[in-house]
Amino acid sequence: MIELVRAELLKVWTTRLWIGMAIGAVGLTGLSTILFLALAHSANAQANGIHPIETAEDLRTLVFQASGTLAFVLVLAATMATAEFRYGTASGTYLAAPSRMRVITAKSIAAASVGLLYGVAAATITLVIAVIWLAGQGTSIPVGASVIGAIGQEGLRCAYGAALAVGVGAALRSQLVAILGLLGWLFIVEPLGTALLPRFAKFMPFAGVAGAFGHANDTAEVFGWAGALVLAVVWIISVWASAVSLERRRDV
Amino acid sequence: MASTGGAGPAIQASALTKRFGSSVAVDGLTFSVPLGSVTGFLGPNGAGKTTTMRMVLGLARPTSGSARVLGRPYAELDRPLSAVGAALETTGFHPGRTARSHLRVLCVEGGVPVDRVEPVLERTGMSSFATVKVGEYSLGMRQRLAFAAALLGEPRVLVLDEPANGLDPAGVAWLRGFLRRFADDGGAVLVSSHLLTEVAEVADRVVVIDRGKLLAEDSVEALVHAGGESVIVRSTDPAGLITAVREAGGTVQEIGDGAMSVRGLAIERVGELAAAGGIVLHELRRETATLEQAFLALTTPEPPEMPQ
Repeated sequence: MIELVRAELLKVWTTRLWIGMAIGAVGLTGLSTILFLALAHSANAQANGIHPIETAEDLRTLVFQASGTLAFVLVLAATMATAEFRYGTASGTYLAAPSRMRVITAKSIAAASVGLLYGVAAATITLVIAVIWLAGQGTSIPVGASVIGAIGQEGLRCAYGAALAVGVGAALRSQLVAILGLLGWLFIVEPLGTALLPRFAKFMPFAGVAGAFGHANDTAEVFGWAGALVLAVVWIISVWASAVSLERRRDV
Repeated sequence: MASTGGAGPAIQASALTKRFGSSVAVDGLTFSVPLGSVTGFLGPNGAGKTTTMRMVLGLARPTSGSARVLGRPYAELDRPLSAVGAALETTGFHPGRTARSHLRVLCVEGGVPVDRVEPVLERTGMSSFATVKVGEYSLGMRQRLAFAAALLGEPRVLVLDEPANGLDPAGVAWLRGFLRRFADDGGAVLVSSHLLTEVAEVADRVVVIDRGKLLAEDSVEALVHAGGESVIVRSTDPAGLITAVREAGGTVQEIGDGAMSVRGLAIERVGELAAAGGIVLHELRRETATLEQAFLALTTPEPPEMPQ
């Protein structure tokens, strides 16, 4: 299994998509952090519930809110599976490693590792920008364990998203459908679902597990961290099992 | 070569069947590929050759029947790349990855030492293109890379689908020599090709299929011999010659340009019949069947005999 995970990571690093996604994630995260810090003092922002960063808890919230990494991680992870079918490399993969369950498991582990890396990197960038910005304004906020923990939680959230996305990619095979489906779900279906059916929001794969990764959800009732963690595991296993089951029955 | 597998055929297909909806792509196909031989896998386009190869390699699920490689289903081989090398298509590459990266990925994935990459690049003439992205490759270069991937694990069995496609004449000659040496060293090769002259030069045996069904499985020599000899004759009085040949028990087929192919009579007898009937001949020669003719005879409907 370790060899297969290494191979999946090698596949990621030997093409350029990860660079594009990293630039996008870092760029979006940096931009949203700077905008948040710059506009937080305005009356309009405060009227919308955005407050200046004054405490460690504010800093922790900023780490969660400014991160724009998840969407890029979803695209990258889905592509780790769908590119195999788009370019026909799945044949070579299954000739080298015929167990489709092992291959999809390796892809999930590799994608989660990449997601963790992206999430931690983006959250760290948010924190670094915020600390420098605030220091420039003469504000010093101690970066305690809770803020560092937020970086880890953001990494885990991206790892979770990546593990889901690679399973969705393997199940759907079509790159376009998988990416549009994931982004559509993240940005349209879940926000709409949360607004229209708040009672069901806590079962959704992203909004529902927010509690497990330190994110608060003000618009819907969600599980606490333990329940959210269980839900996250259920979602990952369900998507993984669906992908394996479909893949075992299909020709390459 | 790896020591995977024991006695018995390198590949054994047993009643392999593959249906796509209502159409039958492969229909109860049974054949074997012995070690120490090159087996040509022949059939017209759409005959089911690629589907069969994919089933043998575990990439496609048979509707019924089974295939074994070195005595086991492909999926149960311990280190598949060290048992079987396969080159099925020239499209199975990420265009943004270099040849070296592609092979390194396969090594890691298949548990093959990464230091095998450089020797196979060297062996297939790809060393100087190792850092070029596959998206910039010609068809011939992709073919060489596919072949390099097949050789990574030093396998005992090669399964190659149209490996000469896109290769230049020197590449084709190299491939022919390589496959011959590979089989002579005890390996087994199953190679599909539409270049029948190439197959005839390198293959020991052929498996011929059409519409998914087995038409013939034999040595090249036996298949060609079964095609028999014919006498090619061209005359000023075709109708008279046809009558004479048929009365003598031969069969006649038109082969174009005023010539006809006579079967069932020796060349001397055809000459004697023409002389006896006072028929002037412009051509009279013996023709031994080629693999191509044997293949066509198996896979195309019998042309109608010339009318009297």
